[in-house]
Amino acid sequence: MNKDLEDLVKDFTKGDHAAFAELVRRYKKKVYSVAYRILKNHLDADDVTQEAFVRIYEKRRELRAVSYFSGFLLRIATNYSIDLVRRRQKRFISVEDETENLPSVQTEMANKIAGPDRDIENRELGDIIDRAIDTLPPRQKLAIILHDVEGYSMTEAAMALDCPEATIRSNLHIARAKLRKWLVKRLK
Amino acid sequence: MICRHTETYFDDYIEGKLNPQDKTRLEEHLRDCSECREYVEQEKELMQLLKTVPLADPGEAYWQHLENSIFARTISQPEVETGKSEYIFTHPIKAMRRHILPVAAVIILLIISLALVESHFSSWPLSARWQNQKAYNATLIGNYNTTVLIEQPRSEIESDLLGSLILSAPGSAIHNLAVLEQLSNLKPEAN
Ligand SMILES: [Zn+2]
Repeated sequence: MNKDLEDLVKDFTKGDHAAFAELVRRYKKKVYSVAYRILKNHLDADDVTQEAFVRIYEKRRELRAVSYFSGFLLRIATNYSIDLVRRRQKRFISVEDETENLPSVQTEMANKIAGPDRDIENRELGDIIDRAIDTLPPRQKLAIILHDVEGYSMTEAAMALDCPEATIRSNLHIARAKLRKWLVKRLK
Repeated sequence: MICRHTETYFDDYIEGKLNPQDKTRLEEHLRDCSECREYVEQEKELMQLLKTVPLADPGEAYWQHLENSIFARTISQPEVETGKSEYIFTHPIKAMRRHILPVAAVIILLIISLALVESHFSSWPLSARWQNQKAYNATLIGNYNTTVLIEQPRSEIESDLLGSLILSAPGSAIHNLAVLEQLSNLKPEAN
């Protein structure tokens, strides 16, 4: 199936199941990747990715502008990820903890599948940068993840975070300055 | 301190969205202003570094499992508005009617017969033919808590077919997940 995105989204909004399936195939890795970077664990990223697609499926009839699909999907995923982070923080205030959700079939199933496997060469540097990104406040962190790490455009990032592009721009500048400082201290 | 217009134009410059005049202007400025030049180099370097953060890839088995989980919660669900649960096969098939009908018909028949003989058989083999004449094998195991196994080559229609099959199993979410897991691990069988 090589339909272009516009046709796919159009068909999807009309209730075409095959179009939805194709959109899931095209976007699942992108959504998972953003969620994983925000939440840092496989189970939550899995949860977010499923939820994002389920929610956009339920709202398919409200999706008017076809060009909004990826931004909208990204927004659902980002918002839900932030929700999860907040919920976790509420439950475990000031405790740095890799907490597990309540056990469920879902998590048991997901547990069987190993988390992302990074090749060792990149792991060290990747971990350092990961930690650097982690030190940023939420809005700056999200702007960096979406735009600089995942490579979304300014427009897409703005749509995902529901703010003007100018806000993304300024968040990025502040965040990059902080990252540079942090990394210079640790890498040199 | 860097000059203000360098900061303003920097992102568009990096994204290649700057119009030719502004681009030339910025590049001319960078030649003359060492502070801005340094800034742009540093930013580029940082962005390059950020792009090297490894991608999260849990592997093909997971992606398949993820797709199946999403389909089980969306396109495989009966439409809420219709409320016709007895026509559970109708909707997912609509889009693929031409391809799926022969297979679905056989499966429906089998499910019905299985329901009739549920306590007498624990395994029920099924063969069906796809449009391109390849054989597909499916096995219905158990009785009321039916596990449906179907073997077929990977294809675009697969998920739709799987969706209908999952619905046919009157089990819980747990059950459906288990079915999906088994389905996603199946390999196509030679003719
Ligand atoms: Zn300057």
